[in-house]
Amino acid sequence: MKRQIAYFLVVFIGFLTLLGHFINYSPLNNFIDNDATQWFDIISGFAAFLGVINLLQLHLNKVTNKRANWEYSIVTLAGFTLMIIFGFIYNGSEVAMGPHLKEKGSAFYWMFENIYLPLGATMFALLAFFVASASYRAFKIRNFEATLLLISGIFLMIGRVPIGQLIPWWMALEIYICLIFAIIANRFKERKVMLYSLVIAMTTIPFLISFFNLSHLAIFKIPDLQEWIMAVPATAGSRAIMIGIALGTIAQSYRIITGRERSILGD
Amino acid sequence: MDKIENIFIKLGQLDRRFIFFLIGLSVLIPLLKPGLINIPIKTTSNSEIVFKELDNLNEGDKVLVSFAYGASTKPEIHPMSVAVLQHLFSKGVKVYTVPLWPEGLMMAKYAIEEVVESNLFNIKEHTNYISLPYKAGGEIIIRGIATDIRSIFRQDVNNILIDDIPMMNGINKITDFDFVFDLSAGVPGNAEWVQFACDENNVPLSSGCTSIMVTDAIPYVESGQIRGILAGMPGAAEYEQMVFKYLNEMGDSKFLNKEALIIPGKATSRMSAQSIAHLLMVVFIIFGNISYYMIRRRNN
Repeated sequence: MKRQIAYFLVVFIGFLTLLGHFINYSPLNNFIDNDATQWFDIISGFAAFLGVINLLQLHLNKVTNKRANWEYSIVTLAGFTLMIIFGFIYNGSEVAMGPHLKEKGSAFYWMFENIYLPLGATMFALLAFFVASASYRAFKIRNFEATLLLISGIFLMIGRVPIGQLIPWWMALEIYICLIFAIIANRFKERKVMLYSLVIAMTTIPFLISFFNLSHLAIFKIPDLQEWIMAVPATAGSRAIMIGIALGTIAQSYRIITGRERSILGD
Repeated sequence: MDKIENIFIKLGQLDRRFIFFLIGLSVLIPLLKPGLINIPIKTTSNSEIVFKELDNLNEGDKVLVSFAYGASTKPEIHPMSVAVLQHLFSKGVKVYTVPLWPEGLMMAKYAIEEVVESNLFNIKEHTNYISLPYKAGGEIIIRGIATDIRSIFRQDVNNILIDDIPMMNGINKITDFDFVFDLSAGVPGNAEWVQFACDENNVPLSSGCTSIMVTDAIPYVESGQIRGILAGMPGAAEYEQMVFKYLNEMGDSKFLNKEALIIPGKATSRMSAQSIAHLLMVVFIIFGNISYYMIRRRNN
């Protein structure tokens, strides 16, 4: 019965919200635009409280039962308790309780500025190291798709930063030639033939481009090429993903409000 | 020839700690010695669009600035927040800040404080800017701002009733703003502003976000639903450069304090570090591929 009531509420509110976008009836529109948003606000307040309780329970259980990595849970609980103390009990300044959360001088503010902020930035900064290491190992010319990813990745990496603007047209051209040879390298049976072909291509093609006055083309300017990659292939890919997600969302929402999808209640 | 091959193979199998060390150095040296490598910053079309859009605003126009980022993405987004606020205050625009992330409240406070402390503008709270408090709900809050802002926010961040703040007169919903600027590092962010508020109400929107978000946001930019985008640290550096030039070339203005020192923001100096790190990563990738090719060839 408990579940049925919960499910009835989900279906009822789901249909009501959906109808609010299709029926021009002011009490319904008012409910959707104003009351429902406030309901959500209240519910999310309680949800945050439940989340806090859940976090405490989870880590306390982990410590008491000495499960794997329980030592880290002590750090979590200690941090949690400290922030609770400095947030609700001990202020450490002349500022009144409440505003002390965002006023200089309070212990909570000090902790936010000197512990939380640098730690947060450090965590995100670590990505640079992992991305560097991962791209070194994973960006390999294995097949056509991987090569495309590698080429666009390199152009985006160089084109997005100011150093990309310093690369002259002929250097961009030499990069293209090297990349083309990297792709077709396996087709050469003789290593010497490949090397001679590469040297000939690298010396003659720039002269040809210069002779036909084609050096101004955007393809030879890495930042412009990077902008094109973002504006055309990346946009096309993103749109395809977005349309797919939207269709999936519609299908899933339909399943939920018609009672076909019950996993939301933990079934 | 075998010796050269062996060298390349070894270069492609470097220990990851060595890579970490080199990346660390490549970032640390330009950050510690900002003048050591000076690379000129060229603006991209998307940053220029953002600048033009904000530059077209007039004195007294109302701009809602959404702060949806936190401590982790502060180094990337915060410089553009400060540059955008500087640009807005230099035009005499009224700024309404709204945090959509819990930490966004502090980020908005830091950005406003930085602008106030620069002494470039004579700005006062509740006259030139107002800070709204954080409310949980993400896109629901955006939806609430779109339809009835007063049902969501009854007080400002200092617990003053918004009905008592003259700057809030006439502000009831999203259409009462002349522009929305989103500063985001995730969800809710620019996509939610498009979907739940700005697009259906025809309110112009621009965004500044992390580099990683740009691919998701670019369809909205290409369709004009987001008017230009500041993409990560490079976008912030470009915008800083444009605002720096604009403030320096600004004639007599009642909004700008000419005696104050105009200095370029932090993103500009950080770009050298990012440039060197990106270049190093490309070099690593090239070595990795040469090594991969040689190993494959040897095995064959």
